[in-house]
Formats: sequence, C-alpha cells, structure tokens
Amino acid sequence: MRLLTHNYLISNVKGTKEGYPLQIEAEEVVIEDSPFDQELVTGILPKLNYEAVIGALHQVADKVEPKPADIPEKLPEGEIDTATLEALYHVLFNIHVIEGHLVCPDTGRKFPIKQGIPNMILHEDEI
Amino acid sequence: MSGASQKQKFRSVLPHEPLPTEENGFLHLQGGFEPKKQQDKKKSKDDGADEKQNIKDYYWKETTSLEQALVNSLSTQEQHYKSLHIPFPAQAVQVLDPSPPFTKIRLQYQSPEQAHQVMIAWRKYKITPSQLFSNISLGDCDDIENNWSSSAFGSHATQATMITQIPMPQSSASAWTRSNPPKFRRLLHEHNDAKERSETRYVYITGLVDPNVIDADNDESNEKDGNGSEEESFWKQPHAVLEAIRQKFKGYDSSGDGIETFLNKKQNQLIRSLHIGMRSASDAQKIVQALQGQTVVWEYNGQRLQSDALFLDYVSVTQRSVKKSKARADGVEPERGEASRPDCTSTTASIEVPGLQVIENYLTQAQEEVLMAILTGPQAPWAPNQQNMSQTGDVKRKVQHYGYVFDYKTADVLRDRTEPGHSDCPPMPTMDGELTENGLEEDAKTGKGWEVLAGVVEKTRRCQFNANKSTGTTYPNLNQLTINYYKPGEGIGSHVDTPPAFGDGLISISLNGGIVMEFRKVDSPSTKKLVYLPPRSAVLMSGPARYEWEHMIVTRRTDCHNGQVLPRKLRVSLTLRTALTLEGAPLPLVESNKFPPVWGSQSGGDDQGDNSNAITTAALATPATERDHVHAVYDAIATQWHHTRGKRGVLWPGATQFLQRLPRGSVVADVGCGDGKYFPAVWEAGSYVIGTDISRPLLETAFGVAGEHTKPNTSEPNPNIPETRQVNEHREGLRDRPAVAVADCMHVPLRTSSVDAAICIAVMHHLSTPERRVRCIEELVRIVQPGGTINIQAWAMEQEQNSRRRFAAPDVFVPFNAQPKYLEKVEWNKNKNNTTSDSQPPESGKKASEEKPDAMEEQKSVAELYSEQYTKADYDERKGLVVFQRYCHMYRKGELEQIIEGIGGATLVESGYESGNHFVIIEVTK
Repeated sequence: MRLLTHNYLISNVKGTKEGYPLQIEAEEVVIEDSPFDQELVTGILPKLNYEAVIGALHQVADKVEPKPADIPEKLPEGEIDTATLEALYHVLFNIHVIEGHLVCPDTGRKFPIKQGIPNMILHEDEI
Repeated sequence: MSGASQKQKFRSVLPHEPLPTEENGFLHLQGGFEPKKQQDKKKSKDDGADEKQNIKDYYWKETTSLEQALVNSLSTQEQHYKSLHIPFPAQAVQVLDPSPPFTKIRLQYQSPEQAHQVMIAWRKYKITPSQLFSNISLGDCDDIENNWSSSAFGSHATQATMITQIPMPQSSASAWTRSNPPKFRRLLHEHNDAKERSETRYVYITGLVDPNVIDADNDESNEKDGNGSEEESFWKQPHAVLEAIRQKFKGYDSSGDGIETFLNKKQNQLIRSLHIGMRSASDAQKIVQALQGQTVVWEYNGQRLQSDALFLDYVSVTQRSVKKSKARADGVEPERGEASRPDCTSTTASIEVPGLQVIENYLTQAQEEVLMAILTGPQAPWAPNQQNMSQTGDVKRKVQHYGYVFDYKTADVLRDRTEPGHSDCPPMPTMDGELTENGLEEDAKTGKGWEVLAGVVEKTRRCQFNANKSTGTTYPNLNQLTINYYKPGEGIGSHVDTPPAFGDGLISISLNGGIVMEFRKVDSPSTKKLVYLPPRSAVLMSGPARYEWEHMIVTRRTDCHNGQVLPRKLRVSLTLRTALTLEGAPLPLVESNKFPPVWGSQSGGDDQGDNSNAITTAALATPATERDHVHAVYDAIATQWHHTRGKRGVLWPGATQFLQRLPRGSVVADVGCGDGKYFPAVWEAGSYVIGTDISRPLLETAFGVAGEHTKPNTSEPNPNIPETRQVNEHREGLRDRPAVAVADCMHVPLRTSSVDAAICIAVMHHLSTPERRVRCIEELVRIVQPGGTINIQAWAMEQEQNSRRRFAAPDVFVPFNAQPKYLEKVEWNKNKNNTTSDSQPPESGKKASEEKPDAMEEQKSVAELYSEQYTKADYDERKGLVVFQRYCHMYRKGELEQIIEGIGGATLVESGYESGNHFVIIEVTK
C-alpha cells in the first residue's frame, strides 16, 4: 500500500463520522524506487488531502530507510520546483506498507494490511 | 436332437424390435419339462440318480412319443391348443435339449407374425408344461403310462422367446441386448486393461458338453468312488477346463489377446452354459454365426469331448456391472441407487391403466428452458425442513410447494396457512393478462419464467383431458403445485396420493429429463405398467389411475424405454393437484402475481420501505446467494480466472476508451477490479488506479506478475503478453505493486468525492437484489467528485445471435468449469505426484491449513475430496472438472438506466450495448 493509496482510504464502520484519515501502524515497510513521473504527480497533488500525507509519513517514518528527502509541511501554492516534486513523488509512490494495520480514527477499528493489501471488509455488526 | 443337424442362425427377438421378415417364425420355449421330483421319490432310493436319468431319457429320447405328443397337441389338436388360448398351430416341434431345467423346445410357425401372436399368448396366459401335457395321449407308451399324469410336470410358466434367423436387427453392435446380464467370475490370468474390456463383447453358449458324455462318464466313475457327483470332479480344475475351451475357440479371436471365459457361479451348471468374452464385436458376431447349432469336439485332459448342438446368444453387460466393477477396482463401494437392469416399458405394453393419459409435448422447448432456469436458478424458493413420510428427516429430493404445503409427516395438506416457516408456503403464481399460446411463448423467449409458470398452471386448469374414454374433462380447481427436483438416480416410493387431501385429477409435467413411472394395481400388485414420461410431457392420473393404482419412480440411474437404455437426467416435475377441505371441497385458491415467490408471510411484496433511498442494513449484508455463488466461487477459482482470462487481457473497447478519455493524472477507482485487468489501460492513460474487490485471492493474482513480463533472464518484453497488459517501462513500479484493497462494493472504502472517475465492470450482475444494485451505484456516485464520470458494464439478458451464451431467465447460475490443478484447496493432491515441482510454499494461512491429508483422505475419491472442500460445487467425473455455479443477474435493456433515474446526484450521459453487455456512463452532478 502506497502512501498515495492510503490518502484515499477511509473506514466505513458503523458510527464513524469521517473515518479519515486512517492511522498507519506499520510493521513492515519497503522502499522501491521507480522512475519519476512528473505528469502523474502533478496531476494528482491538488486532489490529495495533504495533511494526511504528512501524517502518514510521520507514522511510517521510523520504518523508512533510508530517510526520504524532506517534503514541505504545507503544499506550496503555484508551480512546484522539480526537486520538491521528486521528493513528493518518492513519498507518495515509492513507500509501501507491506504489513501492519490501518486504524479508524473514530472507532479504533483496526484493518489489517497483509502482503501490501489492506482488508477493509466490515464485519456484519459494523454495517 | 433334431436341432443338432440344423444350420440355422438363431437369435432371440426382443419385444421392442421389429418383426423379422423371413418366411417362418420360431418360438423357443425354455423350462422344466421334466417329471416332478416327487415322482422320483416314489422310486427306489438305491439308484435314484440312474433312475432319474432313465426317466428323462425315456421321456424325451428313447421314445419320441412325448415329442410327438407335443407336436400333436400344438399343431393338430386344435381343441387343445385353442383351449390354452394359443391362436395358431405349430408347424413343427423340435426338442433341442431335454435336460431340465434347460429344456429347450423349438416351435416353428408359418410366419413371424404368427409366432409373435403365439408368444404373446404364452406369456399372457403363463402356460405351464402341465397345461401343455394335460390333454395328450401317449399312445403306445405303455411303460410309463401308469406313472404318468399331467400334474407330474412342472407348473411353473414356460418361458417363450421369439427367435429369428436374422442374426441382428441391424448391423450395429450397440443393438445387442439380452434380458439378463451375466453373473460370473472371470477366469483369465492376464489382466486386460479397461480399454480392451470396453471393447469386449460377451457371448452366451450352451451345449458345450453333451450331457450324455458326462453322464456316461458319471456311471463309470460311480463304480470307482461310489459317491459324489462326477460332474463336479470333471470341473475340479476349472482353469484347465476353461483353458481347453479357450484353445478350442482360439481361431475366432482376431486380436491375439485371447478369449475370456467366465465361470458361472453355480459351478456344476457350467456344463450347461458358459459366457465367453470376445475382443471385438466382429469376433463375437463371427463365432455366433459360425457355431450356431453346430457341434464341436474339444479336448480336455486327454479326453475328446463331443458337444451338443451349440446355442449361442449375445450378451450385453449392463452399465451397472461395468460401473460397479470399476468402482470396486478403485476400492470404492458402488454408488447407491444403482439398480438392476431396468425393465423395458415394452414388456408391459399390453397393460392398460384406466384414467391415465400422457400428453407429449405439453410444453414447448422454450417454455421448458425458462422454467428450468427459474426452478433450478438462484430464485427457486426451496422449502425449508420438509419431513418425509417415514418421519426420519428431510425428504431426500428437493421439494417445494405453492398454494398449500403437503406435510410428509401426516401425509396431509396443511390447510391452515398461518404457521410461520411451516405452512406459509408461496402462493400459486397467477397471470396478469389473458392466457394465449403466443403470449406464453413470447414470455418464455424473453425469460419471463415466473409468468410462464403462472401461464402453465392456468393452461392446465383449462386443459381438456381425454383419459378413460370420458372426453373433455377439466380440472379447473387446481390449487396446489408441488415441484420435485429429482437428481439422476433419485426416485419416489410407491404411493397413492392421499385421497382426502387431494381431489381427482393429478397432473404432473416433466421438465428436462424423462422418466419411467411404474404403476401397480393396489389390489393386485403383480400387475404393473411401466410408462415413459418424456420431457415436456404432462401425465394425468384420474379415476382408477389415481385411486386404484400406486405410482412410483424406481431409484436408479437408467430407464429402459422401447429397448433403449436411457440414462436419467435431472428431472424437475410440476405436479398440480386440487387440495381439499376436510369436507372434500376444493380449498380456496391462494395466488399472487408477485415474483419471485418466497416463503414466509412477507410473500406479497415490499409493503414497508417504499422509499428507495432508505436501504435497510439487511440489504447491505451479503446474502447467502452471493456468499456461496459469487464470493466463494471467485475465491476458489481466482488462479484459473486470472490465468485463462485476465492474462489474455481481453478488455471491453468501450471501457478502454472511457479510461483513455480521462485527463492524464486522474485517479480512478476500479470497484470490483478482480485481477486488475483494466489497470494497465489506466496507467497507460497516464492515470492512477485504486482497485477494490471482495475476493482477496483474485486481488493477489494482480500481484506477483513481475517475472511474467520479460523473457527469462533478459529485459526484453515477453512477446506472449498481450498488448493490453503491457506497460511502459517507467510504469513497471505501478504494475508490480498495484493499489488494491479488499472491500465490499456496498461500502467502498474511499473518501467521498475523492476520485476523478470510477469504473465498475462486470460487477453489478453479481448483485442479487434490487436494493444492492442501487446501493452499488450510490457508492460509486459518492466517491467520485462532482463533474467526474462513472462507467458501469454488466451482463445483458439480450445476447448476440452468435454468442455461446444464452440466458433463459434474468436470474441464473452460470457454471464455471474449474480445472482441479488450479484449485488451492486440493493443493496436496497436485503435489503428491509432483513433489519436485516448483510449487512455492503456501503463502496465506488458508492454504497452509489444508496441507497434508491423513491416510483416510488419501483413499477418498477425487469427487468426494472436492465436494468436501467446495460444498456448493459439483464434480464432473467425466470431464474431471469442478463445476462452480456463479449467480448472475442479467440486465434487460434499459434496466441500468432505470436504476440510475432513481439515484440523486447523477446524470446519464451515455448508454449502450457492447459484446453481450449493457453499459452506462454517468456524470456526477452532486
């Protein structure tokens, strides 16, 4: 699960208000470099909940080796320089949570992540 | 033995065969033409055996008087044979074999038709030897006259078989049938494999040993040992004897593999008859033709043995014996429900059951097809907890009632429909419009199965039946429908439908499979009638047929109709009856035009909750139909699904175009993404995709494909990867770790108004209720941002002419044939024979838990193993495939559009039909 994917995921458990952002409890994180795709990251950035990106990065930081290049605390307005875009791309696309949990902020419900796939299925009493 | 000199090639004629065309007709009588044993006992006991022999000889051989007497009585003494109801005189009578109980007498008649008539009389009046000899003069036979009387002869009916000189009715070897399968033990040392066995044709031979030869031998050895039958001693070394016989017939074996010989279970009767197995049909035919009526000399133990006139006949091994021996070889107990060879309907052709009427082609094929689709499909409301008549539990077959429940415990109708879960069965389906044949056919062709069922019920109420000479009888009060689901092999016990529960006139309509129904007269159970009910026929039981005859379906896997052995198929029967009040009047009709019918008091429809926005929690929970027939299926077949479909990368062009039209840098939700077949199209369009699916195994197949895309040990693209699955080098990272999550499309775990577009391809047709279909689209609309678009595709009821798919009804099970090698749950089965394969250790806990079978499991049949692991699947033994049934709802034209009309915040942009699917494109306007 990329941090980009995480930015879109919510908890649907009965009783949640927003179920977002999900807190990451990471057990295994891998970094896999991939070619920088400026067009893609530029297109996606404005749609993201940037706060959640920062939060997620903090939550997995201690498992990320080597430490990624810094990204701005707030999404810069206007055109973003390439170095920043590369750093953002790296955070969004190259950091993968392989094992761990996603925790619903409203209910505390934990959704397991196994082999990089989060399981967001609800139990019958949660619908 | 006048027969010995004859060179005719005889063969028996079965009742269903056409009469032969040759000049004469022959009847072949078989039975105990010997004086009764009591007669013997009156003789001195010292030399009983000799005495018996002498008498036999005396009767049949040394004097021809008895034979002559038969000739007289059957040919010239008109008064006598007429008194026995025999219509024609015999032209000649020959005693072929005097040895009881195998006495064979051949009667010649002027024509085959005459012989046929006579045979019918022999059978009908069960003529016995004592009747035959009741009125004949023995003329000069003074010696035995004193002891002789007609009652000295057996009183068991004589068996009459019509025989012909034509070796076969047609040349095809498949036409070989005889009434009885051989019961024998094989005596062949070399094992021949199954293939050889399947080509083996069996021949029945009698007369290989002239009884006189053995008898002579008998007398001699009696002097030596004084006790014990020498017949037995002759057969003390059966292998050697049979080897001698094999040697004798070797010349007829063109295969060189040797002839099989079979020892009869009663060893001491081996002398009388023997079965041999020839390796091909032509060999068998040759030996029968060459040796019929001939005598042969063969050698055993240095002795030359003279045979009697041989009689040879073809034998067919029943399906059962082949199957059973195969099953035994596999160490499996033969399947239950295998009965002996079925009696042919033609054997009871002369019996009439008054009040019985079979109407063939009562339904059209289209009507049958649509009825089968609804009654075996996902909407069939099988009744809960039916009790059977013996009160030991459920009725084995599936049963459902409409109108009124028939309680098998009390064998009565439950007249009070209020008891929840027990008597509140679905109402009778009723029509909205007028009944016309054209309208019914039109409904059938457009998949309106429940409407067709209602129409068939109405049609039956109006049908004018002509059973029992009364014409134009109708049964307008039919108010109870019972649907029985008979799997091949299942039957129903002999019964008369409870008279106070149901009125006169029971009508049963057969769907999909025909069946032979057996009727037995209540006050004379030996009187039986076999009636073949073909598929699409209706049978009426009225008057005597309903009240004085029991009817049943024998539990077995084949029926025999007009000489053809018909393997049974699944048969669904619709039985219409008139349920009565305790006073005997028809109960009020309970009917509804709301479909599909359901159990329980809510049958009547959705009174509460007309507000389509209020989707109940109950609707969001996965229904059993989807759990068992969608989720479980995809979990099981994921690997094969990906291997045989996903990897081929066949995409709907419309969906691909939809993705290509999106602005680059979009985020697309693929709800119900399966193995991520559309992901490469999204990536190549410069966008990002997040896929969700309820089947984790399917999602897993989207991973782990890294190696597949390049040739081994190179970076060159693998040419076997279809273009639609190839991605640009710099997107390989996306491909190797696609963004997926396990989720239910009732609760898509994505932020509201977050994605730019959504696709939902081949998902909606797996949702089993209207509420869930609405909910799914509402979820799609929720997650897409305003101005974004959604593409939905689902299977269409309307399939193209050339499509291999055709759906008889909107809600159906679509089979998926799974190859066992792909099925995870039988992993150990694969590895057993292939331990060195590159099988990776099981990854998920699910696989690991099914690892090693214990010794017991090793011995289980493959079919058992699968049916344990995949309870809702069937195992097709013939093809070796596990057949899963996928629930599908086929959308009619306009149905998707109609759902969207009721959903807020969405506008239909485009809709259409593509390759058997309906699609819609929606713009989100919230």
